[in-house]
Amino acid sequence: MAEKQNVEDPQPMETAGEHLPNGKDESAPARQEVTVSFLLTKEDYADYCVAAVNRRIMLREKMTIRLLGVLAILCGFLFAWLWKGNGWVFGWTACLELIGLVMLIWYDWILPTYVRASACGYMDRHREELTSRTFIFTPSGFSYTNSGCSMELPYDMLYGALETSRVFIFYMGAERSVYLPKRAVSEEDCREIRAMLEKALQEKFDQEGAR
Amino acid sequence: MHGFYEGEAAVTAEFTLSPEDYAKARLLAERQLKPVTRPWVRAGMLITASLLFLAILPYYSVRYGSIWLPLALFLLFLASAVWAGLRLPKLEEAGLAREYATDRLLLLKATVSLYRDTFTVVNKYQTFEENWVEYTRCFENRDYIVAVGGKNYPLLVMKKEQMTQEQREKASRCVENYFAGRYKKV
Repeated sequence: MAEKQNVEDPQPMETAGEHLPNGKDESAPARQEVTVSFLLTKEDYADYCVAAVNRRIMLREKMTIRLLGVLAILCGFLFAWLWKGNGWVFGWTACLELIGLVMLIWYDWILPTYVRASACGYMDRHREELTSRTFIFTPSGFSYTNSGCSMELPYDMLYGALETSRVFIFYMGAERSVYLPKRAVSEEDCREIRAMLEKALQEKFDQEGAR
Repeated sequence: MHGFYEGEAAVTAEFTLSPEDYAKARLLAERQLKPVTRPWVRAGMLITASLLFLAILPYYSVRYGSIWLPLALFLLFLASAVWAGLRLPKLEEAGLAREYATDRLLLLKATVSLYRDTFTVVNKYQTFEENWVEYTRCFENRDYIVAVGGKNYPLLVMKKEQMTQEQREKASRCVENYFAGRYKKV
């Protein structure tokens, strides 16, 4: 079995903040451990797939395709204006504008929709993979358990981490990752996890539209 | 998951694999699963296309009075065939090795134990226990035994150089027994 990490014991709860109006002590230390257990749903898997695909696409590629889409639309209007009245040209310019529109919305709508539909379809055919998972986060690392896999990793063994508006993804390598859907995590736990990751991973922690 | 009825492990061996090992093992599996990804299959298809362009050269020269277009296409496809047969496999292997080099956990020393219905892979930080039933195919060549499939551990790689002769034979027999028609010795 994997060796246990040297995890600090959880600190006792602070009571110094009881005198404050909301009962919270802003100077209380962060919790030492965050535990999240959840049952995976196909929507969680779809969110993960969309986030993972988006991460793999370079911003340069997205901007280039969008720019080409805008150019195609503008060229379509230009050709239609230059050769107005010509039925063939009208047909070709309409095609050009349609292609431009598709390129413009490809990364924002078409690709995510396709990926989401594929992911949901995959999970409909593989319902046995919708099992429970458990994460335990500490300042030094995290542990992850599901049926058939358990790991206890220090953060420096991670290749990187990604946070989007719906999911945390932890990359063990460029292709291998585990993920935590945010709907299974309370707002406070989310903040704790984010703080731990920011401190431990620094540049290796990406946040895309997380807040 | 491996229980009382399975008894002891059929084989237990330790492996420390490099990114190149994973790349070669993955290519072994991919090329068996999809023959079109084999270098000489691709090269053969491109050579066939180039011969087609060569074949239409007489007609083209009579019809259009020139031979340059089919000749250029013939040479282009022939060059592509040479590239696909010789250079592309090296690029693919290097790309996969770079990808596996990013995963430090896969490169740790791991103990693989094969049981009748399951296997386990244990390293310093991770433990995987998978059922053989999750794996679709198994391939063996001179250097590796590779099983593909699985949910958490998609590619099981055993490097024969790091096993004793007895371990190799037992592992081979174990996967051959389990996978039966889905096992192939390349």
